[in-house]
Amino acid sequence: MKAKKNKDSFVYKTKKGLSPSTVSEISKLKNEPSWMREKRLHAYSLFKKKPIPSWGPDLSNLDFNSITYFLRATEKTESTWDKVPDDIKKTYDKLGIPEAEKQFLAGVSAQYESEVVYENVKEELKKQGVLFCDMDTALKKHPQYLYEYFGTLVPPNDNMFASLNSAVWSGGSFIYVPKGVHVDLPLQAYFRINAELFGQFERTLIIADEGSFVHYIEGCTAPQYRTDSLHAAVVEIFVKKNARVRYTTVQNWSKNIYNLVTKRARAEENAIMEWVDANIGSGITMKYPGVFLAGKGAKGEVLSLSTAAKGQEQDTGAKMIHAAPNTSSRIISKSIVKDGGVGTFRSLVDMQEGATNASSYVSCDSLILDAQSHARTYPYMRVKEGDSTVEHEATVEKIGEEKIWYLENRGVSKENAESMIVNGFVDPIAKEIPLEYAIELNRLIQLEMEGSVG
Amino acid sequence: MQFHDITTDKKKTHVVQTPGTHVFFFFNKTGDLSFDIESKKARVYIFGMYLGKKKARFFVKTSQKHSVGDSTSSLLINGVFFDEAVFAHEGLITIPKEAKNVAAEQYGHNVLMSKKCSVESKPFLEIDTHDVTCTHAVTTGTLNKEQVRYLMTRGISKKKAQILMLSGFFEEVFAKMHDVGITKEIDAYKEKLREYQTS
Repeated sequence: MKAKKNKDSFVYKTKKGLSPSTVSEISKLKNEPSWMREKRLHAYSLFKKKPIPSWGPDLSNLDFNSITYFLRATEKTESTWDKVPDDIKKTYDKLGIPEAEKQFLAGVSAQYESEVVYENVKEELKKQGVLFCDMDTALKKHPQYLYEYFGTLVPPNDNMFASLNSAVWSGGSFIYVPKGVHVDLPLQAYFRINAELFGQFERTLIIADEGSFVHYIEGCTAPQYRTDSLHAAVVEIFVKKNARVRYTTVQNWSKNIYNLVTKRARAEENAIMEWVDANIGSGITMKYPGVFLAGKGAKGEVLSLSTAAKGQEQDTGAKMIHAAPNTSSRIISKSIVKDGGVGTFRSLVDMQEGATNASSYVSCDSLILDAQSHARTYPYMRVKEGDSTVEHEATVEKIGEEKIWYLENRGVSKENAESMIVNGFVDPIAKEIPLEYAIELNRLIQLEMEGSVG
Repeated sequence: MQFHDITTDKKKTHVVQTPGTHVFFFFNKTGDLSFDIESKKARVYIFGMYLGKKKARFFVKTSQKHSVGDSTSSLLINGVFFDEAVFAHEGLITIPKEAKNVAAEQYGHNVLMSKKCSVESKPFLEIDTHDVTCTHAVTTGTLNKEQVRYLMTRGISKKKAQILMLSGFFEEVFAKMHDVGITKEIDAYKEKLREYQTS
């Protein structure tokens, strides 16, 4: 896979900081219709009024004035290879990442394409009538979908970072799957060319029409580095009657990044929505994928895995809103913390009046590897429907000494024993991640474990 | 073993400063309750029971704070709610870095007997050390319909079947209290519960 040179080489970027004129400039540079420009400006006015959340990790060092809010992707970015931190370069080597891919992941090269694979995928999708492109292209080629759905599930006043994203969004994926179509191959951002693949303010919109199925994968296990430190993305997913969507994220941003993301899906009658969320990187992540179970019999699931080491705070979880009868939800969370890392689980299960015969199961487990680290869980369960069931359980523990002793007895070294136990701990979620990612994920966790013995 | 019925006790903080078993019990209590465990080898058991009818409202906030190691705490709150009763429980367990070898747990089970009652549960954990075993579990739901139907096929009326199952539900708490040495008070509590249920 090679990084390709682009023909046009001039870079468009806005001044640092945010103002109504920057927002308008972004819209003009993209040649957007006036309704989108108005949406952006309205979102900007809401952003100015929103306070930083008073709960959760400390975001006081976020400097909104020093961020460049729009930088058009060309072959070169502002970063150079010598700016990339050494530990990231070392991880690429240990994971065996090819040269060109390293450049792309480290934010040095802005484009990445896999010509052969992409062409074949495009053909298949065309035959099925599936629409898959970046959001900027979608606004031009399929504006009717954005007009109808954009900002309806995550409105611009939802929270501060959703407001910001709604004002300055760029890039992200658009997928529309027609009725009854099953997309067998998982779709990935890697398949899109000439777009900001891992943009700071990505906006993704997925619409799965009745009876359809699609699996979308975001991110990768290899660490991604950017000089600008805020990643505030928004994902909205509409799962129509009898359809199913699985959205897998493997996030490994470098430790200077604030990863503050709003992800929400709406499931209609008998629809199924599955979020598989693996958070390995970033300095601070706040992310609570949610499903609004709006139709009878709808199902929602979140499988969440997070690891937090020195200098990291993973504040993750899930939200399930049961607004119809016979809906069911499941939230499984596994968190590992070491070297002073902080792993926080936050969830909401809301059984609204009328959600008769609805049920929910939440399980969150934390593995604390040393006395410097911290585990927190803040689950909220609100039941306003007498005919519903909610179950929640959580455990916080260290690696059991008797387990290590047992394995050592069988000739396994202490290091390997700990590694084996950690892999077993994450297995229920890791096995849901597609194979090539799962292998890398396991290697990554093993790398993270090195040096944590004793 | 020290037993404290704190149902009518207005104190918000209960400090455990001696080793051994300490048992606390309350019924239909609203308010903030903090259990500060400051002694090694202290084993603290907290039992709560709720029976809510009509427009009863209960808001309780509990906190199990282990400031020293080698201690254990266990919280169990079972509640049954009828009509338009409202119940909200926030339960926090904190174990700081200095408190090694602590085992703490929190359990809450709620049975909803009408469509209009509402329950909010927030079992929180804040753990800052690895030498710990901490667990919590909360369930909220209805009486098992199959089990009610089974009793009815044996000639027991629906109402009687429900009363029978609810006694079984509270029996779980009484059985655990019995296990930690509470015996004579239990009969009095069972009587009080019966009165309350039939009133």
